[in-house]
Amino acid sequence: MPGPRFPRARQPSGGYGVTRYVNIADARLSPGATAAVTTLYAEHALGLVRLAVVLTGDRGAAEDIVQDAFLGLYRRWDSLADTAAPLAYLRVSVVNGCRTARRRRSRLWLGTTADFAEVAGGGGDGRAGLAESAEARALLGDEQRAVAAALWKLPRRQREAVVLRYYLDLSEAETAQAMGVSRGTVKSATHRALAAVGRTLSEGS
Amino acid sequence: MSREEDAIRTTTRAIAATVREVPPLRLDPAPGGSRSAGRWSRRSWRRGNSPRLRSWLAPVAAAAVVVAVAVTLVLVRGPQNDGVVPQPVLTNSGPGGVPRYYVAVDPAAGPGSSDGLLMGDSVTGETLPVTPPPHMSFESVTAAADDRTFFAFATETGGSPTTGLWFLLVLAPGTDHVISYGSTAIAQQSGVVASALSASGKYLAVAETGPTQGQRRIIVFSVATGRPLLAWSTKDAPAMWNPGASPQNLLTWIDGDRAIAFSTIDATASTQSVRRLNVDGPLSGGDLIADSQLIWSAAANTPPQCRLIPPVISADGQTIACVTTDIRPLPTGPNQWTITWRAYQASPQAPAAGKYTVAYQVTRQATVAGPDAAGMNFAGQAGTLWASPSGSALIGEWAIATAPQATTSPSGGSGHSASATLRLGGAFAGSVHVGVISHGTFTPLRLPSGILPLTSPQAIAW
Repeated sequence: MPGPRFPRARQPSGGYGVTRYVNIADARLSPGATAAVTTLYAEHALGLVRLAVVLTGDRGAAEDIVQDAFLGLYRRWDSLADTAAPLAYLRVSVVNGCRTARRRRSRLWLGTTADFAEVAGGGGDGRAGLAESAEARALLGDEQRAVAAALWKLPRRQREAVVLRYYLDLSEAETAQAMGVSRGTVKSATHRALAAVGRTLSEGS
Repeated sequence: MSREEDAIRTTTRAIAATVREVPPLRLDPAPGGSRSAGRWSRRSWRRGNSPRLRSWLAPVAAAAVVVAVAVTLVLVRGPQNDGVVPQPVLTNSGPGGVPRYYVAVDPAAGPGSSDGLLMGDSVTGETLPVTPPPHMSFESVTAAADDRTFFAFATETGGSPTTGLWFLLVLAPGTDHVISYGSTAIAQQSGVVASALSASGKYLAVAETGPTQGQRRIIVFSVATGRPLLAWSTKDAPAMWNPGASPQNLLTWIDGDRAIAFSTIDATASTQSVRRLNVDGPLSGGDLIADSQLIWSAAANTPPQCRLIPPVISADGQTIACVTTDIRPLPTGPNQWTITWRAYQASPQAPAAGKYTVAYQVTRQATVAGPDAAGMNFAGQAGTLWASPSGSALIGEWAIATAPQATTSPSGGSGHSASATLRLGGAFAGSVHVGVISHGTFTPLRLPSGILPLTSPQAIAW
C-alpha cells in the first residue's frame, strides 16, 4: 500500500527541562515595554530563579519558569493595571509555573530513580538527595540537608507557604497574594509545615 | 524566631545560593523573521504556522468538529468481528513486526505549555503533529489492535493531570486525511490513573482513584455511547495505585475484549501483582479483588527485581515483561549498570514469579550523575513500552545519563554508544534508546528526539 503522505518532519530542538531562551521580539507592544521588562529582568531574574529552584528543585525548569514569567509580563505590559508593581505579578507567575513544573516532574517516569538515589547517596525517593550535590554538600550541614529533605516531603501548599514566608520574608498578606489563597490558609499551612520540620529536627537531635 | 523558622530560612537560602547567574532574556528577532529559538520555533510549529503544515492540519481541525460521527464510523467499520482481535496487517508492520504507526505525546516546550501529539511512521521515520484542543494538554495514549485507532487522554493545561477527557484519533495513511480526531462520548473523569482501549476499539477501561479515601476502581466504558458498562472497586491494599502518579501501563486488554489484566502494587509488602478480570460474562461489576484472579506476583524489594513499576502484559495474557536495573560500584570508579528485560509466564495455578527468560540485557559502565543541588536531576530510565500479542517481541526504552566528563564503554547489547551528557536541570542530552527487543536483539526504532525520553510508558502507543 502507498505510504502516508506526510509533510517532512520538522524536529524541534531540545526537550522539556532544558534551558532555553524566549524570543519575545515579535510581540507588538509599546517600545517602552521592552526596556522596562529588560530592566526588570536584570534586577529580579536571579532572585526569581532562586525562588523557583527552592520551590521546584530543578535549575533548568526554574530558568524556564522565570523566562516564561517575564514573557507573560511583557505580553501583558500594556494592559497591566499597575506597572509599578510588576514584581508581585512575576512572583505569582513563578509560583504558578513551579506548580506546573512540579506536577510534570511528578509524572516523570522514574523507573530507576531509587537506584540512582541510592548510588548518589540519597534516600531513594528521588527527592531526598536534595542537598547531595558536591556544591550543596559544601554549603549545607547535616541539619540543613535534613531540613531540605523535610521541605520536599511537605505538601505543595505548605512548602510554598514556608518558602515565601521565610525564604523571601514575605508577610502573610503578601504570601497569600503570591499563592492565590487566603491569609488563613497561609497561616494554617505555615503552622503545619513548621510542625513537620520541627519533628524532623527533633528526630535528628 | 523559632528554631524551625530559622532552619528553613538558612536552608532555603543556602540552596538558593547555588544559583549565581541566569541566562539573558533574548530580545533579538531571529534572522529573516524566522523563529529559530528552540521553544519559540516549536510553538510555532505545533500551531501550524508553517505553510507546509497548515494544509495538513486543516483536516485535523475540521475533523475535531465531527465528533460523534467519527466515533460511530470507527465502531461500525472497525471491528467487524465483535470482540475478536483484529488480525494484524502483516504487510504494514514496522521494524521487528511491531505495528507501523504510533501516536505519542509531544511534550510542550516548557512549563505551562500544552502537550500535543505526534503521529509517527516507524518505517519511514516521518511524523505528523496534532495540536491539542484549546487550553488542553495530552497526557497519555492507548491503541486498539488495528494500528489505526487511538485514544488520547487530555487534561486542562495547568490543571489536574488526572481529570480530563478522551479524544479519538483515526489514522488513514495514504489518504487526504491522514489523521482525523475528535472528542468522544465518554464524559470527563477525575482521578484517572491509566486507561486502555480494547483490541476492537469498542471499550475503554479506565483505572481511577475513587471519590472515597483509598478507593481504587476500574470502569469499562462503551466507546459508542460513552456510558459506563461495568465497574469494580476496592479499598484493599493490594490494589494501590498512586493518584497522580506516572501513568503507567496498569491496564491491558487480553484475549481480545474478553478480559483485562491489571497491575496492583502493595507498597507495604513491597510486592507487585497482575490480576485477570474477566469482562465477558454476565457481570455487573463489584469487588475488584474478589472478582479477579491473581496470575502473577513478585517481590519488589530485593534488587534486581522489577521494582514497583507495573510490568507490561502481552495481549494473549500469557507473558509478563518487566525491567530490572542493577547498579554496582566498580573499584575503578564508574558504576556497572545492567538493565535486563525479563519475560515471565503468567499462571493462575502458580502465580509466584519464578523462572523467567532474559529477553535482552544491556550492560554499561557509567559514572552516574547524582541528584543536583536540588536533587532533581534524573539520571536514568528504563522500561517496557509495548509487548507483541504473543509476548515474543517487546519495545523497550533505556537511557543512562552520565556526568559530562565521564566516559563509557559499550560492552554488549545494541552496540550503541552509551555516552550521554547530563543537561543542566534536564534529563538526557541524547542517547535515549528505543527499540524492538526480539530474539535477544535490540533493533532501534526511529523516533523523533523531541519526544524522548518518554515521560511515561503511556505517553506512546502502538
